[in-house]
Amino acid sequence: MIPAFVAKMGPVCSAPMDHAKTGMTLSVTVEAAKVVQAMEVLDAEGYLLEDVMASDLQDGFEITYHLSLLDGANRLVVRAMIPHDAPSLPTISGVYPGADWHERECFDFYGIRFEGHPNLHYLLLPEDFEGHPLVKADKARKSLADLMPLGYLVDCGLAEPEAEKPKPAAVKAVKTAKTEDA
Amino acid sequence: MQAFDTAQLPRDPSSVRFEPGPTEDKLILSMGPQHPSTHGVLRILLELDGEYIVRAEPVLGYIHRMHEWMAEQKTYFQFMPNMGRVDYLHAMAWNWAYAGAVERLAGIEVPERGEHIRVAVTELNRISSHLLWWGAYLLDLGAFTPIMYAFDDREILLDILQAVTGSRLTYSYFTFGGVYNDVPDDFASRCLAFTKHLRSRLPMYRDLVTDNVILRGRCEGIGEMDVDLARRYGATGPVLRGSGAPVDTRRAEPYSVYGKFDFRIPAYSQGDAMARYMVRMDELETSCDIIDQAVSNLPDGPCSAKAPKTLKPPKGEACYAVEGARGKILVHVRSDGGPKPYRVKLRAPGFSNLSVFCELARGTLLADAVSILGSLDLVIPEIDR
Repeated sequence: MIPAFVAKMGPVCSAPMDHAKTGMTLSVTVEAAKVVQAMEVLDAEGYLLEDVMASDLQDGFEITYHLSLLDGANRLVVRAMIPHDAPSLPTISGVYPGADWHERECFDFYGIRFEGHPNLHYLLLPEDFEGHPLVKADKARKSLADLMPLGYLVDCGLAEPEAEKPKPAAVKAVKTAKTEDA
Repeated sequence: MQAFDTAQLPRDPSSVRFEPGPTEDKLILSMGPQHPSTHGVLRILLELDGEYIVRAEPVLGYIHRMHEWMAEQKTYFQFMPNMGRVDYLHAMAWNWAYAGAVERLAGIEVPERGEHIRVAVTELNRISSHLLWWGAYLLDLGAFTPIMYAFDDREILLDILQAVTGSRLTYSYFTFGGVYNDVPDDFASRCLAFTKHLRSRLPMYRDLVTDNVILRGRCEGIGEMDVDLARRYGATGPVLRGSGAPVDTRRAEPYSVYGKFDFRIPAYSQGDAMARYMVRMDELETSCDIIDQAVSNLPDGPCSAKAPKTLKPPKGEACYAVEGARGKILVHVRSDGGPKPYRVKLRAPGFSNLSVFCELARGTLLADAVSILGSLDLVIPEIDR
């Protein structure tokens, strides 16, 4: 299941997680432009889309898709990072129609634009509401390195053990180097 | 008489996409937010051709309270009472999903007795939720009496839960590491007496209601959904099991001590409103079986582990999935190591279940849409959060 997914996706950054400690078994980070492709692969493998979650980090908005097979403890999360100044990524509602409302909810709370969404307007907030309530102030934002245990970052190739805080520019270089090795 | 100019009326932003279509006999109907069959404040915009639904779009947010924002403003502990208000009918499951996620994050172990009490109260709460759904669904379909029977039984249950938790509806009984108070001495005997009583009532429910030809006419073949449709929309719980997939988080991802208990996962393959009805009726028995096993050998020991008063879980993230009365509840907590969560995401099963409604309602009679809506077992505060 996992190797097939990774093989079809080309270079992705995946980190196994401990289900007993985190409730997830695998975390896969893909480029924002590739989320639809990732969902098509997962849909063909019979995954159920549980949720779409956005978080406001220093590095940008992180979109997390929770998926699981119908049976068994096998929660897989697909992540994509998008910048604050251009918060948009393709909609996956064409693959999973259930994502329609989840994406509208992300739009409500964070103002993330889902390109190609059939009906992107406020779902839970009133139509005349101004702003997006879960967007954090610059000061309150934390970076991925402040939120993730070090083990995860090393597995994912986002940080080396000796590097204290990776700069956003360096992250990409490390990521590609790691995936080429594998 | 002066012609009435509709253009002068204040425009309703939600109905902008529901302009009258090219054919003249299309009717745009706004059902709710005060319609009794929408259980709370749900509004559905319907485009009707005669009595048939061409298009349906639920309008949400009438009781949106932004729980996820509140989570970021409060400490881990202070956010706990919010969970009882997300889904007031199965508050225990939401308590559990949040407590479980934080316990995973902070590495807190729950003692055996605490786990058994958690299972027992959650299943009692599931029965009270299903009984209320049963009464209210039949009320939607025009049968008034069943809700009286359902509330009669539910009353016994609420008394048991009140003795344990101190409240009757919006419980906030769980704490990180276990439950707040130990149960009273007569808890086990009262639970066993209740399950015995409920089992004796179920044949009467079946004869009185389930086998009723009018109910069957309103439910059979209405709102059919297959497993694949449910999966793509993320529908879980009785809705998914009514489509023939015996999927239950208690079995798939056994949390707590559910792995120790022997219980059946009811599933019906018809995929219609009747199948979803049957799943919930069978689940009353399933919950009785679990309660019997959980309370009949209640382990000794503490009901709660000692958790620090100001909890600061290490940085990281954790998910916890729980089978609620309406489906899979998922709480995702992210911590930056501080006293407040960095992000809490609540996955409400009703939200995904309701999103299938647009698909199911298309082409049905308006009266059948009410039956479909009820068969999804909606609790609006959970959907709006």
